[in-house]
Amino acid sequence: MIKLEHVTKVYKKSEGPAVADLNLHIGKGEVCVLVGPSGCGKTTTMKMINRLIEPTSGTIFVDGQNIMDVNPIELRRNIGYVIQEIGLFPHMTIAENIATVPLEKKWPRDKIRARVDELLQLVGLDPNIYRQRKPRDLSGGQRQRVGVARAMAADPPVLLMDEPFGALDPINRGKLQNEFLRIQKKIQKTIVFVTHDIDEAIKMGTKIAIMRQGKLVQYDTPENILNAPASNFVINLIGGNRTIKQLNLIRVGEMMKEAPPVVELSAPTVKARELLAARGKDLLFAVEKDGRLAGYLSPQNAREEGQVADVMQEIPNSITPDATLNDALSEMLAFGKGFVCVVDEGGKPVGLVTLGTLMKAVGGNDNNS
Amino acid sequence: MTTTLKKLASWLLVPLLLAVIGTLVTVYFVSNPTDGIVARQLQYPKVLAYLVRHVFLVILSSLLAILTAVPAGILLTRKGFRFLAPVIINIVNIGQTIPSIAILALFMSILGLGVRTAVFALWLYSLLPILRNTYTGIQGVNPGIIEAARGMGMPPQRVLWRIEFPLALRVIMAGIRTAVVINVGTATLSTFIGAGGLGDLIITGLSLSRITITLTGGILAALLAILADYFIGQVEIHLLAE
Amino acid sequence: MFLHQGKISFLWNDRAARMILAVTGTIMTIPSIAMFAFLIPLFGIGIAPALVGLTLYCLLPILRNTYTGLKNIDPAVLLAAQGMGMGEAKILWRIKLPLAFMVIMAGIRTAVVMGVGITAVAAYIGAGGLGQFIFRGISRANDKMVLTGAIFVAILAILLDYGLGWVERKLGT
Repeated sequence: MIKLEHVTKVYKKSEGPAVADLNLHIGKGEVCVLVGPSGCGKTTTMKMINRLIEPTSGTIFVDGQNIMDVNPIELRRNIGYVIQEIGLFPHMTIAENIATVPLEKKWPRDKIRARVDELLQLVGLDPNIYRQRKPRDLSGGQRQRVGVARAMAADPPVLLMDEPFGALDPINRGKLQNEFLRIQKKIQKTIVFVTHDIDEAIKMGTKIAIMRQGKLVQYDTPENILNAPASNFVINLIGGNRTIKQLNLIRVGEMMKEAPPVVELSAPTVKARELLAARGKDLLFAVEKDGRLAGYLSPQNAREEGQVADVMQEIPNSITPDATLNDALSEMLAFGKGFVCVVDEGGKPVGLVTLGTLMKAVGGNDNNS
Repeated sequence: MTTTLKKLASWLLVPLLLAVIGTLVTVYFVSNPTDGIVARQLQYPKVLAYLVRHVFLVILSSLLAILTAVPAGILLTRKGFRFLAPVIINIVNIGQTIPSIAILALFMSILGLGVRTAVFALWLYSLLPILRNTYTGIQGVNPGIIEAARGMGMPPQRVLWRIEFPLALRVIMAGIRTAVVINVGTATLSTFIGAGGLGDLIITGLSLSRITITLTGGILAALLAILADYFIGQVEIHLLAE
Repeated sequence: MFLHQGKISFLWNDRAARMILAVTGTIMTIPSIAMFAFLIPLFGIGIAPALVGLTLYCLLPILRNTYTGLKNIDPAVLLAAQGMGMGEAKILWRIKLPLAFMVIMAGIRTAVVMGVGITAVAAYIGAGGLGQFIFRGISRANDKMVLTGAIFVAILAILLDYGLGWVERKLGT
């Protein structure tokens, strides 16, 4: 989908090249993460793809076409572009921001309006509430969602994302990363993603391109980079504890165990005891009438008499199947228990991750290498 | 409907108040002349003519200044002209420190007395704050926002009109406000170079030692300045409030 | 005296400060020759009305800058000063005023440069000074005299602006 051949960029005033003889092939539907320390040329590389920066030499193909043969304005309208939250136009409403490229492409009004609503829904913002708001009325995370929606407005096959989640706090960043991966599964865009955060790269990338001083150091899948770093530079970049980082590669949905049996809050504890005995389990989930997770019961809890609601223990936090095992581990550590509950978007329990699950995941990977 | 009317009423309150004060003062001084000399100088058509001339000087020179300084300021931020900016902005800054009376005197000695000289000097002097604010306003737009617009495929012209200009408008308007208020004051001084206006009343009164003539001119000029400041301030607030 | 005014506006509540700034701001919009027209009935002709007028005009830039300068000090710094047991007066003199100094100086600079122009106009009401060249030149139709006056006034303003700018930078660092 995107091909860079012998691409070099030399800035007038600097000594060495910002990007030197770079070859990169990004397949359709892949997320290619460019990662490296600041000044490594990752942002320059990305901006050459939509011709915000012109390469000194070499050729870049997008969808088989040499981008130098395309009018840069035309080219950019077919490549979505997300930068840190400062990129939203502060004097325009959220709807106007998202409509930027469709307006430039002169879409009919109705089509634009429908598309704006569709995109707002896709990124999890209620169109009726947010359509007419200004960027300053939104939180950092919400602005970032709008930024992503704006880039996807004209449904471009390619997205360029320059540290899109860089300005967010770690919790929001994790949430948005997961959400973005969920969306990407649906839309299957070809994405070039720039970050300086190797953990984000491992989590988001189908492939990671590690850059240093304008050169490509290693270009491979996250698994291969973790298992076989090409040089000391890569090892240092990845940092300590590669095993734990591998947890970033695995989704909870792939590894979780079956959810324990559930019992309604209003049920008497006798029923809980019966369930535990019948299924031979040592854990029960307590759920609301509509099936949403409310808490859990251990065999000791179930021994007391009364209603489930009186004896159950609260669950402060749960995770969704598209979170990573690393997220699961953090939750476990925060929660102080050896397990974490997995719920779907509606809050209904769908599975369970235990320490055993994590051990198995890490062990499995070690055996492969 | 009633709320918009109320808004309009509250918006017009200050201008009306200023107009009423101006009228009352004029009527009082005109209908109570202290002697024959005052009676001859202070007549309604005369006072009105001075006022109209004053407003004419201010509006003409301000419009010319806006029409030239805003495009020039924009041009200074464009590729190809950007290298001129430091020099020009420096000249503008020095020009702004020169007192208006010196500017008027300077051009009088070069171009002679008259309305044309006054309009020229007023135009040149009020050009400076608008030019400077247009330049700094557009330069001050966050480069990230501009890059986002370019990166999404907006042609340079559209980036200017849809992104840079609206975002710089507040600063540009502040420059226009400064320019117009300065213009009202400088137009008062342009009486010295024979361009007429309310300054005529002030100096006529001073040279004839008739204080009511001076006060009529002075009060009207002051009210006009306050009105201009208020008016543009309101335009600023209402145009840019969202 | 101007500094003192600024201090008062800072000590009062925000509303009073805003009102005082609005009034002084309005005074500033009044054309200087009109201001002199008001002052002549009260102070006669000569240096007295010129001095009063100049004072009124210089009020705003200095007052405003003193106010904003004091107002925009990082609250953490003030908290630290309080935490170290400094009293109100000491905080004002040792912390606030030095920190606001640059902004206050900028206000003084604006006032002085503006004052040059107003003083030149004041020559018309008999206050003397360089403006006399301009007005005498005009009444005698002597262009060279007008030009001399204009150039001297302009140079004086530019020099004062430059000089005060230099002082500002020297004392500021």
